[in-house]
Amino acid sequence: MVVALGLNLQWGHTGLFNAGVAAFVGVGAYTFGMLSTGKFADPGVNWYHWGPDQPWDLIAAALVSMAVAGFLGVLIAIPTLRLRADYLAIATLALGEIVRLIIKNERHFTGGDLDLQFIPRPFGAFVPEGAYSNGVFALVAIGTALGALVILEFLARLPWGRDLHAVREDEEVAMALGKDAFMLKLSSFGIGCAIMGLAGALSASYYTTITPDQFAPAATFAAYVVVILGGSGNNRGMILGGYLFFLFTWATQQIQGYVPSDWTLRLVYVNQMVIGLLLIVIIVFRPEGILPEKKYVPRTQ
Amino acid sequence: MAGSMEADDAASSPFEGPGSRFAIPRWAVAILVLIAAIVILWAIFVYYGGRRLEAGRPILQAVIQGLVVGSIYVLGASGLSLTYGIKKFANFSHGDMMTVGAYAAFTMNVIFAQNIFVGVAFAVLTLALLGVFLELAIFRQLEGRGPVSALIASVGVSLVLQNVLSAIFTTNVQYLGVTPPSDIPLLNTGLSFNVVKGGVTLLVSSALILFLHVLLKYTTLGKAMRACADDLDLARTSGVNTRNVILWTWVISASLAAVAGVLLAIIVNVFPLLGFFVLLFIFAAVIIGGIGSPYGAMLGGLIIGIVQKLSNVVFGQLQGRFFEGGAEYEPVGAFLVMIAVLLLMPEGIMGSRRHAMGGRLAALRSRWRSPEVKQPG
Repeated sequence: MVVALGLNLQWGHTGLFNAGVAAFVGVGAYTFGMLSTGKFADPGVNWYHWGPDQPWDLIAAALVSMAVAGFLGVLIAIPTLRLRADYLAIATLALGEIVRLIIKNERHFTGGDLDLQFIPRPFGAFVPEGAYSNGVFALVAIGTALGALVILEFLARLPWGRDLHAVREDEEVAMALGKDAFMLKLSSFGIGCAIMGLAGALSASYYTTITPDQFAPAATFAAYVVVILGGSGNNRGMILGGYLFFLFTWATQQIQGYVPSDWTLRLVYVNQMVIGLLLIVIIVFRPEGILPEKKYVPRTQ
Repeated sequence: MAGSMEADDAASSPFEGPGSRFAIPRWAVAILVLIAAIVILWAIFVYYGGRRLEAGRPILQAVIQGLVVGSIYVLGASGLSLTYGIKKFANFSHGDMMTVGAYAAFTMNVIFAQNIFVGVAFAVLTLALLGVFLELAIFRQLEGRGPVSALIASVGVSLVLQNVLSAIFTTNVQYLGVTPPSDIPLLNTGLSFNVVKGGVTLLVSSALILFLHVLLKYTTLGKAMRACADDLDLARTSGVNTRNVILWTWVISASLAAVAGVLLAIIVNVFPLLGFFVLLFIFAAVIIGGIGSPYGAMLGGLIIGIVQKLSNVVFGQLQGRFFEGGAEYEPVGAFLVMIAVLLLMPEGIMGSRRHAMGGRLAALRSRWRSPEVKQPG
């Protein structure tokens, strides 16, 4: 959901097609994991990942992972944002793959394909593991999502947010009116990536173990389903889309118990298949999503 | 490490495109740069490998492998480039169409125990039908809605195809009923070459490229296809039945994808993500060659194939010096070349200026985004 909010800023509000979402989420998750677990050495198997000597405070770690993901976003954006939408998609997809390969292979730095483990959860000292821990985490996650939602709604109402819409609708007109379209896109991309980094930190903390392949391109497409389902350009639509998506995944997991055993595995694929179909159906029949963006100015069609 | 890429960029940037004072065609320059990069890498390997000729052998072997892999990319990329040229969107499902082709051949060849040629024919048939179906059911509805709607729809198609295949055939790795003979050594150079894996692939793809060339250059359909790629509206007003031409383009593009998929399945094996993994390389080939230019895509495919295999060797050598990963970084070199081309000459080696909207985005806006149709959302 938080991923979707960040993506919505880029795609929904500014019209930038970022196909490397998973990479930014991954960077956020790994930064958070590395900072919050600290330098980790296991003499038994003789591997470790880089990190500070003392584990960091979780909030500080989350903020830093936002900053790192945002910085990386800006770094990638500077050369690629000049590209047209479909080129941008391919370029970011390729860069995302490079990031994933680096995370996967640099074992001394990130733990590589040996996974990053024992990532703490917030309030881990007070709450024992199990259902309570999940509940507390859900509260923290919902709180973060709401916080991000409020900030983004606020940003969208600022002149900055309106400028973004102008850039999305017609870049030349916006530039003719004296708006610096490139800086606007850059800032939108950077903030969007930072929010994805925050989402990565949250998911790292939730799963407590992260592996590089969690951040494969498939995760990016899932985020797009959420954005397009909920209605691009509408932050509340993201929340709805996020919960619908989650409900759908949960429902498929529940059904698994009731189907013949040779179909339990295939149900995952059916799930993905339905997601793909949804994507096609929505884009063909209702491109504005379930909750369309509110139009402040009537448009002459 | 970046020897090939840096050389690539430095040499190709001063060119102003066709019609400039430089009379050397860009494709010739690209080939020369590629050969120069190979020679330089080979020389570096020989020099640091104790100045023995054997030290340069991995590079040459990589070039052979690259040619073989590249010729498959050529098939995929020229097909992708055909649809890109006419439909003006990046088809993310092209890789999965290749997978479908591989599985269609697998069904015939292994499950029904037919000859592999029957399998190929079946794959081509399946994919031609699939291409027509996709155009009629999805992409025709999205005409005039900008490149990104169709792109997202093709991502959806890609997800559906991948998972239908996973659900039917499971994700297990399967093999076609073709047992390639072992590699034969080439004279006494210490290099090796596989007749079935390499030779057949090169032969088939050269034949298909020749077929495509004749088709595009000398038949009415081919001329109509090029006209449509150039300017769809103009072609329509000139009396070309654009709908039919677009359908035929899908048939040809999908058939090429089918053959590419089967060849890939022979070299690697069959699994549902087969095509998705090579999709980015095919995009890279299309972009390097220039969007919408099938000839550029052919060249781009070879370049990407060779760069990929070279970076396999080079990163393998550098493993442990600067970074931990080695040959796993194989795609990185190819992607870096692609991104460099995107940034420095977005029109590609053989693309026309008209398709090059990237670097000068502010000045050139995509023509097909008519003002009254806004992007979804």
